[in-house]
Amino acid sequence: MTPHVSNVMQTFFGTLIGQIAPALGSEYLIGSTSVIAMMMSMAGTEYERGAEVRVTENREMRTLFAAAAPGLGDSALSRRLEEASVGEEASLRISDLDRTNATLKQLLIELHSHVEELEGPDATDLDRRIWAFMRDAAERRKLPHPLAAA
Amino acid sequence: MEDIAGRFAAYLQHKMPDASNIAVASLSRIHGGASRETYRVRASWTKDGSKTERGLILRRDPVASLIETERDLEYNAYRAFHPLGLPVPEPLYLETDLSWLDRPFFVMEEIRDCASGSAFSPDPYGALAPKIGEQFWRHLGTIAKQEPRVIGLADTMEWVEPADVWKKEVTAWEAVIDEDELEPQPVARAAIRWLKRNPPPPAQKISVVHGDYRTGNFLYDAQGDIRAVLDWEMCHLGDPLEDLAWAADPLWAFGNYDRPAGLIAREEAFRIWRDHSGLEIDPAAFTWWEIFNAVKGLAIWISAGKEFAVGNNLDPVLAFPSWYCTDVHNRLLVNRVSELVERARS
Repeated sequence: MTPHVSNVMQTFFGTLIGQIAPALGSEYLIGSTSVIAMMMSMAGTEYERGAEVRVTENREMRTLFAAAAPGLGDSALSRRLEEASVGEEASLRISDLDRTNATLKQLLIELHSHVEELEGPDATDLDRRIWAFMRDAAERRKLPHPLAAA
Repeated sequence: MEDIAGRFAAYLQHKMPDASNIAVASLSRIHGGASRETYRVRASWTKDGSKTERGLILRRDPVASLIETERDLEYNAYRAFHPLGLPVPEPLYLETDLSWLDRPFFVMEEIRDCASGSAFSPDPYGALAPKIGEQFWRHLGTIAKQEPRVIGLADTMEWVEPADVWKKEVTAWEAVIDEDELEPQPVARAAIRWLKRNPPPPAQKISVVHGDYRTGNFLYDAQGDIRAVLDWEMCHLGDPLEDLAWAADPLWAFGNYDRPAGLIAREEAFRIWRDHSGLEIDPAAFTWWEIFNAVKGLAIWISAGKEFAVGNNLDPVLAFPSWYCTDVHNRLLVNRVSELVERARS
């Protein structure tokens, strides 16, 4: 696909902000157009990295679940974690990855909440791993602000 | 648009039966907060033989909004603070009769020849930042200093005891996330659990909390004088540190923690607030309200994203924060809360 989607979105951002918005007479439309332009730029970023971000997150959550499953003191939760940990992506469509991501994140919330109630070094270690995962995931999803990059 | 202009002219005639030749020369929509449709109106009329031209702002309830609020909260806040000399527009009419414009609305004076800075630009105030900064933090201190019972807002807002403030706020915003999230939010959920496990001390006093006091929600003129503090849709009674922490949230300063609101240095800003509020900033309590505000922000952005996603309101202003502000607050929360958890262990 040429020109590349990210390239097109970034170029259109500049056109909308620099040429089209200033030519509009309505203050409301100028504001809306500027917001649309910024979101097009962000969509270009997401187009490029979206699948990678989601696949990585899903893989890391499965790895985390596999490590966490034994020794939680909750056999039902452990069983669900084990089941989730052996899954794999059936499709690389963003909507499918998002669906899997949501299922895994819901389980992560349950796991984290459970771990916070446990005591001992293993629980502390697991809690740290969960926070580390969430920090890395949030950083990977960081959206560069187009005006900061300009 | 023509339809609204004509109907609004009829409304003005209703409110000013002694006036004649009432005309709405222009009515244009502007961005004025994502929770109300905002219109700039140029109206004129003749009364007692003389012609008056006036700029008005019409704030109409939307079909769906970023923040679901009662318009009388905002109107009452303007009414309470306008006589005190705090720069707010003069409130003129509050209308709940749907026959006029289909939805409730209120009308206030237009503050002309002013600008509002954008929280989403790197240096919104330029050379005016020092002058605006002094006023910005002073006005917030002035709001915090007022006694809600004295200025009449305790009668129109739900009272809360100082020890209960934090719980009321967390419960309310957690409920928003419960209702509006379209995908699980592990960071927000972990932060909410932290807030509940680590409650702040009782509020040092119950103040009027603006609820959205920040970059972009005030107007200033070319001399750098703040002429109007706007967007009181989320005002309520609560802990004054809630407003201080929200105003100092890095989201409103393009991520700059040390120059909150993109204005002046953090220490100086907080000194001004202390001087004018007569209140103290307990570090532990302030940290709690910083975390709370990032959660509150997430709740608002999640809600906005849902309104857009389900088609209730397709204004781009609702979609943008759901992407960008969610990202900023998620990163802020995950770093701050994990740091606090770790500090508590050592």
